[in-house]
Amino acid sequence: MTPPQQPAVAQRLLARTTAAVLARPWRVVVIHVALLLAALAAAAGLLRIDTDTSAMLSAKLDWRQQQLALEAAFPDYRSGTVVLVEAATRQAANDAAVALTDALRAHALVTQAFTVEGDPTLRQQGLMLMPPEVFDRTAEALIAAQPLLGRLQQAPHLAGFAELLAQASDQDSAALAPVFDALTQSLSSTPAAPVDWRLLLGTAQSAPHAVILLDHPDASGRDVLAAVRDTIDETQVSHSTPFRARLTGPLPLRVEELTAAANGATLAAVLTLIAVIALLWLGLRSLRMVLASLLTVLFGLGFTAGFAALAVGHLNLISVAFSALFIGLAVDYVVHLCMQVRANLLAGQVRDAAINNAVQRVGVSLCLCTATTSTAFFAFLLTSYRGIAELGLIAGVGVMLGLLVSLTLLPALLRLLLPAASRPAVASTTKSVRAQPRHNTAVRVGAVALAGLAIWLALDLQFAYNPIALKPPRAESVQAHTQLLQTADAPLRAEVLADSAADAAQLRESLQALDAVARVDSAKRLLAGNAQTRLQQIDDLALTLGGALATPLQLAPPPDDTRQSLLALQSATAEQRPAFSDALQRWLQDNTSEQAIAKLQRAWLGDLPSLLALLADGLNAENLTLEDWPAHLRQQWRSDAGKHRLVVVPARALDSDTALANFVDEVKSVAPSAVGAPVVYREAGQAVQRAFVEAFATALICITVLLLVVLRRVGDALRVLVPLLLGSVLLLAAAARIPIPLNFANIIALPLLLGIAVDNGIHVLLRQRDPAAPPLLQTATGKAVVLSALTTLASFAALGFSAHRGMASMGQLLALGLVICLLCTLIVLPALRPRES
Amino acid sequence: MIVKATRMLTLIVSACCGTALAQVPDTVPNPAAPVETIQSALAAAAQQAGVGERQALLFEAVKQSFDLPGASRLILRGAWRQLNADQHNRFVDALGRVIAANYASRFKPGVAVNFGHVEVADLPRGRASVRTMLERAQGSPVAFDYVVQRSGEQWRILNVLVGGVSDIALRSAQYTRQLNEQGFDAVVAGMQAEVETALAEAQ
Repeated sequence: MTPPQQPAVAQRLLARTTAAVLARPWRVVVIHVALLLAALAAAAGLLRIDTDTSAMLSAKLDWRQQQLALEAAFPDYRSGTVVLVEAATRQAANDAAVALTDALRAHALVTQAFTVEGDPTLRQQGLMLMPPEVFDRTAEALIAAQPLLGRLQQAPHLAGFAELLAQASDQDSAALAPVFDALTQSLSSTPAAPVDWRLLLGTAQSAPHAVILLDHPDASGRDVLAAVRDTIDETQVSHSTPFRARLTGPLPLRVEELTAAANGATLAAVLTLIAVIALLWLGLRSLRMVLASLLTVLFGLGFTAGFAALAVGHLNLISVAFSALFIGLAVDYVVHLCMQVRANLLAGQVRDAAINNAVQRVGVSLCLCTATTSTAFFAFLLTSYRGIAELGLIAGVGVMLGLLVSLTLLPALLRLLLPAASRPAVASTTKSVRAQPRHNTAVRVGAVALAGLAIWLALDLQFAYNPIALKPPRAESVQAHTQLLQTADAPLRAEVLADSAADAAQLRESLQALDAVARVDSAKRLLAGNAQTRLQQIDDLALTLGGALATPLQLAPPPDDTRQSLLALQSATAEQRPAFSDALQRWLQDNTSEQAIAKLQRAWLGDLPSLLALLADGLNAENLTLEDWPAHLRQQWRSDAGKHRLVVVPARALDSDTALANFVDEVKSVAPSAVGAPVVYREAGQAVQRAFVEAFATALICITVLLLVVLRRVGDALRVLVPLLLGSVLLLAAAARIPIPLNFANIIALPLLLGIAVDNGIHVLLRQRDPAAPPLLQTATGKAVVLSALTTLASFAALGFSAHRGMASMGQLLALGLVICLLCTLIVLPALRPRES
Repeated sequence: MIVKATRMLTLIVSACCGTALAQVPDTVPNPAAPVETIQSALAAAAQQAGVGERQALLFEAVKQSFDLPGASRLILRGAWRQLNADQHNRFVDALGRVIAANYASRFKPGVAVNFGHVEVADLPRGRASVRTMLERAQGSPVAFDYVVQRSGEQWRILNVLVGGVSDIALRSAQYTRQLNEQGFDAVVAGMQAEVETALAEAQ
């Protein structure tokens, strides 16, 4: 039965090894257990999960060099975490952010905590640095509100405010209309909603949120996040108004992504195991064989984890998927061996002979399969994508270890578990299926036509640049990031390093002229455009407001007669402002307690003390030169070595790949050395695509060489490769049509499939070389090919359930690819068989 | 109502301050001096029967004690720079007359008023705040804060806050809106109408 083409030396070696294993099975098992314990100890002690994905691409790439140069010039300006603070009003959010920033500064793990309104210099220069139109709006609103604010200083409580409104209610004053509208709106909810005085005074940002930027040592990762979350919890308890704080920015995004990826990988591994057990049972119909198979796979997995710990030391976002991949791949070996053992037993061979013959029969092709699969994995090592290179190394060695345990531990376990003269419990259920097509020419023509169509369709395939789209959509950091994208605090900005002030000015001007650019921030951001004019405007505003802001407003508890004041206000406004009057009347009917009055005071006036204090600070603005600014603020924009940093803010939200690509292309047309997150996304996307073309080409060349060496016939090598290439273009076409756009994670599918699917081709081809072979699917090989494909498919499909969208799409693409490649191999490869003379 | 009440209180407090200010030596420029000028004029106007005479007397006092061009610039804000010299003069003149007419209409001889002591406090940029409290027959005292600015040897009133409400802020909100909606001539016409109404009330 042994095919004459198989190398006799390898076969003799396998026979001798197997005989040795079968002679001392317990010794083999004990050695494996000892090695497993050592591997697990190494994994537990050394293997950590690396959250830093920024270094996953080679530092030799131009844009990485530029990014590193910028980070070197501005080392202190690298925010690892962004805290998005939200509250009912903009001022409440800012107050909470200031309180939280103070609390965070006290924490040992936090090197810097910064929020704009917590910084004395920025508070003082706030009015100075406002864009002209915002300043005019704010000044106008403040002047209109001055009578209210001025009187409130005299009676700083709800009763005073109500009396003032009652006095003003008979005026047909457009200036007060927004105030009454806001109060009416406030009364429309229960309890009364806080009045947003920033909106009323025209100083509003786009949403009621504030942002805190945190710096911390890179290594502290999860500890920092835990500490920040604890501090948030404590501040939420101690702070006077409720607020919500969510973490985003590079570190939380990384950590949550990795958690999702690790959970996804664990889930995938468990699902894969369950599916593998079910499939093994269906294929082998022997619990003992299933047990031996499982133990073999798990030992292999443990050894691979030990290797990863010793050789790499960490798992990254991509290599964390190796466990699911490994189970799917390593199980192929045990399937092929066990199916053959089963066939041998059914053919009447005794246990030891059945095992030894099975190893000899399929061992060589398994070695060849391992060589091709690991070649595909090792091809990743040649790319500049370090994350994938590490997966390549771990998985490449992993499949070798998988083969090794299949050839040593599995025979030992089968020897120990199977009875000496056993027969399988169930007879063969194989039906006679002729899978080989009778119309080879039709299949060949169809394949060529299909390939042409697929290539045409595949031209539409997109690459999704934005890595945020791969992250778990429900993660707090991703949601906060997405929310910030729509605001003025959008985190996706390009950065440009300029060598001098003159260069900076020139670049700034060119960048500012671009359509895709909203504005360019630079050291000029700290300098008012027309300082003398603005100082005069601020002085005029101070004079106009009189002393209204000079004394800090401190709200007093509402006096006992507040209810009467509110009743008076209600009746005074009945004619001129009926909507407000009705709303207040309803509120007074529904709320009779003193507590409700106190709450209403907080809702209506709670914003004012800190907002007025901020504006009062702004009235003390000075004409500061760059040198006058505190170093920590100046050095965000100009380094002590004289380098300038420009931040380019996009005109439109970068929430799609098209918007991102347009923005980056426009910015780079003016500033080729631009860096920053959007540039990194795009450049990394292109680098990764190049890396995978390299990996695919390398894998293809290596596998071709291997096939030529082993099969020794160009025709046979082509017969294995053609279905694979057809499968690859069909997969790309399917991905383009579904669509499953390529991304940073799923792009590994193509070279990986090459390595995996080629195995099926090898098995089928070697089987066909056997002149006495029955129809393919009646053979143990044919069934094993289907069964192993199903187990691999299960492992890929299990990845598809991951909450990590990148990993899920990787699983989907791999599963789809495997089915397509398997069909191509089973249908097209036999049709390529030369006509027998 | 707030506008009218404020201006009336402004007038009354101006009348109150004279006695307290009289004690400051003449040789040193006194931040409270312009308040004293208005006060003296109010005392003199109280003796005049005709509203026309009262208005003429108070207009002169207002021109002396107020920095009318400065106050006008503050009131019209950015729009001030876009007006020509003739428009500046017309607005300054109209503003003086509006202030005087309001004094004339609101100051009734024989109304009983009590004044608290005067506090002078320095403000940044060569300015000072002059505060007095008006004791009312009914209700709590009302704070009057004058913002005065030194110009050479003279102090002049730029703004007055009554009960915390700024006169400049009130006028600015009113006149700039009118300016944007109806144009400069309408603003001046409105101020003239305000003068006529006030004087009619003062008859």
